[in-house]
Amino acid sequence: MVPFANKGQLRGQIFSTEMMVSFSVFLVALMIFLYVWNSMYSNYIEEQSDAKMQVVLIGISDAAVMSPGDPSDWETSVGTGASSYGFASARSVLSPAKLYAMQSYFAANYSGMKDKLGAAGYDMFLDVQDTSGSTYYSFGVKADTTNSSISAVSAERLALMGSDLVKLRLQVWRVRGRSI
Amino acid sequence: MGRNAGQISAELMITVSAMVLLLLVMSIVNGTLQSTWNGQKERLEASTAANQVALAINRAVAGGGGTQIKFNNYVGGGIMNITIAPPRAVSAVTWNNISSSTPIITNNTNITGGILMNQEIVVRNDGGVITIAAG
Repeated sequence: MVPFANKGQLRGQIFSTEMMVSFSVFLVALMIFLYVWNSMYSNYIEEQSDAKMQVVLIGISDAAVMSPGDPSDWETSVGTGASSYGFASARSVLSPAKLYAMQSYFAANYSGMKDKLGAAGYDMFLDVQDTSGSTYYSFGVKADTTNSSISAVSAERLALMGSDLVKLRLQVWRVRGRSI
Repeated sequence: MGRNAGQISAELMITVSAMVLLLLVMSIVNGTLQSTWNGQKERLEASTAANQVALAINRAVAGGGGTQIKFNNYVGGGIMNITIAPPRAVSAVTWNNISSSTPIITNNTNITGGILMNQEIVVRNDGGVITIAAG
């Protein structure tokens, strides 16, 4: 008949279970919201960095097959001191001498040479293969595309080398989360 | 020990304090999110501005001597300046000093000061030297 026998309990009721539950629910909802926001924010930054990586990829691959570089005889004259690098002796015709020179420059100084090619802040790998997949030249560091923390973009260009049809493949990549 | 009329109970005080605390937390969270959002928005604006100029310069370089790339260099109102950041990058800076730079494939440019914004510009390859002028 008398559920509230103790007056002390009656006074404390407003601050009991319901209040604690409602605060907890609010805090959990706030934490979930912050987690989702953080994840969206990270994705946004990653997308932005990938867009920039595409610009780098297009720039290097265009120059590689279309331009001889500046100066055009950089492989015999200035070497690692060229203003820009390209591997073409004529448009879409690759020069073995330029590719060979770049391969040796990369072997000596990967970091410095990739920056000079226009991939500062990223990593890159370039190879030239014939249509059956035999590699003529390759340099740079290949991305481990099975690693989910690595974001890579790649391009493939057809060109001639001598009388052979070849594929120039370029990969530009970065480790996700690294600020570019 | 009973309460007098009009006296506020301890429970009510605790409840009100907790509510005020939650309000403060929400306010802090809101402020933080707004500032990160604004920063990111500006960074995107700067990145887009630097990307489009870098793309044009790279195309001019790849095209060889005599190549001209003409385009409207429209940028967001938040961009203060776009410059060449030596040795090989284009950098865009916002009014709040947030910058973004995009690598380019040449260091042979004849571009001093800011790159023209919000108008048509021509990126020209003059024998390997890249120049930018009004279109």
